[in-house]
Amino acid sequence: MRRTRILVADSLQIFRSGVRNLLARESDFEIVEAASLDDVFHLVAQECPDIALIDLDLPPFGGVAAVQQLAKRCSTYTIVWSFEPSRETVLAAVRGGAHGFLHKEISPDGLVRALRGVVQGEAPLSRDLASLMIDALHGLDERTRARERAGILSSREREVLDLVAQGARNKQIASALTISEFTVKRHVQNILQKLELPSRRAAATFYRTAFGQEEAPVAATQIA
Amino acid sequence: MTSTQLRPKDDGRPLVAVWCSVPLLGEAVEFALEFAEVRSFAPSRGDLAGLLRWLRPDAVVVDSDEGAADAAPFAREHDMPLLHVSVRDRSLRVYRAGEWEEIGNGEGPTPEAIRNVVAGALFARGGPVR
Repeated sequence: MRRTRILVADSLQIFRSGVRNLLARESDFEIVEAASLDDVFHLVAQECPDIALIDLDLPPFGGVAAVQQLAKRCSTYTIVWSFEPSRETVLAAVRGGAHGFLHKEISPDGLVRALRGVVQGEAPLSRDLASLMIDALHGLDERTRARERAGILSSREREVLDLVAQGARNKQIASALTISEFTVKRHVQNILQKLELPSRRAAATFYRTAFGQEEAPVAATQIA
Repeated sequence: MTSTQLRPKDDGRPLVAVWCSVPLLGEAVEFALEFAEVRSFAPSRGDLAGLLRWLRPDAVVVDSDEGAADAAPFAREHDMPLLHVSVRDRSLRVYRAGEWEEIGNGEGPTPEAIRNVVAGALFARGGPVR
């Protein structure tokens, strides 16, 4: 019987030893260990593993980067694991190519079940992490919808809204964009009308939903 | 009187209790202490002080500040090696003569360090390490 080759990539030796001790009792698994991405490259140069269990903080660039690098070299099923992951972390790992995400607090039996599930084509994701994923996807949907709505704004209105979201007053916006205060007021009214929003505060909230922290403020330095 | 003398074991191997919220730590301790009988317990199952009074292990490994605080009085009373392994902080410390002492050289809690500390402490008190 061919054994499933498991790569445990974790900088903490104690975790690698724990998994090794656990899987040594199972006849259908063999284990190889890596403490860093360099170790991973060295190992996969010899033979690609069937499954890679990768620590989220694997040196030097983290587990998600390791998943992406490994995917370029092997068709390995990759599972990222960590302590107390946030929904953004889980989503980033899955979007980065991970086939699953596990808690490091997983029980030994749970880990063996998860690994056998992967062999059978299942995606290992505990129930609470699945909920986190769904929440994160909902958040993405909301952002996508908000960005689509923002598409009806002109580029100037978008600049004004950006500054409104930063808490700038009309006078500051006028100064930053070199336009009159009256023009700023008209832009703000148009923004509220187009987006069907009741107030500047609602517009600021909308802007943060649509663009969050991903985009640098257009005129942040101009109002400083 | 040591806990070993209180509760001699059939096979003469020291008994090590692992009280951990990260179950794979128990596996790692078992891997490190091949000379010992290692029993793992989840913190959700009760109080550590009561467990130690009942089990009377030769050494105990915990992975939380709470576990370390709960085990310290028993460890001091029975001259029992007590290790606090924090996988989140990547640290290993040992309770000796009423004081916590940091162990290691920055590599985090390795199986070798755990083995050395437990074996050394058991030897020092005339425990049953073979």
